[in-house]
Amino acid sequence: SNQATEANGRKRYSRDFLLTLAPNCTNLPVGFQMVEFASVLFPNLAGKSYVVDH
Amino acid sequence: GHAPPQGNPAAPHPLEHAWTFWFDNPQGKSKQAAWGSSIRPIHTFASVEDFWSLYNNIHHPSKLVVGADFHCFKNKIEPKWEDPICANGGKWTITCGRGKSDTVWLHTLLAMIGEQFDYGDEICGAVVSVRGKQERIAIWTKNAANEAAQISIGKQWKEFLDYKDSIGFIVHDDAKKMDKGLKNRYTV
Repeated sequence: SNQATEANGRKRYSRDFLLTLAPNCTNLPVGFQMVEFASVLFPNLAGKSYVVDH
Repeated sequence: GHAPPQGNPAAPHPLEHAWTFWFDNPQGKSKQAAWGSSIRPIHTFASVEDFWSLYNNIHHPSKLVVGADFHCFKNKIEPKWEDPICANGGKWTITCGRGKSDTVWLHTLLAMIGEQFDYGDEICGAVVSVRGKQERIAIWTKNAANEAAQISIGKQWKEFLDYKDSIGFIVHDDAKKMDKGLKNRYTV
C-alpha cells in the first residue's frame, strides 16, 4: 500500500516497500565497472558478472 | 559481460537523490600516503533497483576486512572533512559489536535513500567503519550549528533502528583539533 508518497514533491519510500524490491535485483548494476579492489568487496564477482540470470 | 535486463525494467523507482558508494581499502593504505588517498568511488545509483543490484552483490559490513570504511554519500559530496559541504558538519555515531552492524547499516541506508528523515536535506551520507572489536556506523550532516536539524536526525535515526541507548554528535571541527577529550556537541 505504502509504495511511494510524494510529500512536498519528494520521492519517499518506506523501508518495507524498499525491501519488497530487493529480490528482483540480483545482477550487478548495468554498466558497473570493475574496481581495483573488487576482490575485497565482492564475494563472487566473476560468477555474477557473466552468468545470465533467468 | 553485459547483464541482461531484470525485474520490471519498465518501472524503475527513482530516488530523490543520486548516491555514491565509496570504499576506503585498508590494504591500500601506507604510512606515507596522505589520509584519504586510498578512498575510491565504487558506484553511483539513482533508483531503488540500482541500489539493490549493488547492495545484493557486495560484502556486508560483517564480511569486510578490519580497517575498511564503506561510505554511501549523496552524489558530488566526498566523504571527507575537507569537502566544502561536509566542512561545517559533524556526525552521529552508533557502535556495534564486531559482526553486528549489518542490519543497522542496511536500515540506515534505506532510511536515507527512501527520504525518511524530516531533515534529509541536512544529511551528507553514512559510513560504516570496520575495526578489530567493533563496527561503527555514522551519519554525516552538513551544518553542525543547526541544532534542531541535528537533534531531529539523531532521534529519528534511533527510532528507525529501534535503538535504545544514547548516541552522540561530534563536530568535525572539534575532531580535527583534538584526539583526546573530544566531547559530544549533542546527545539524544
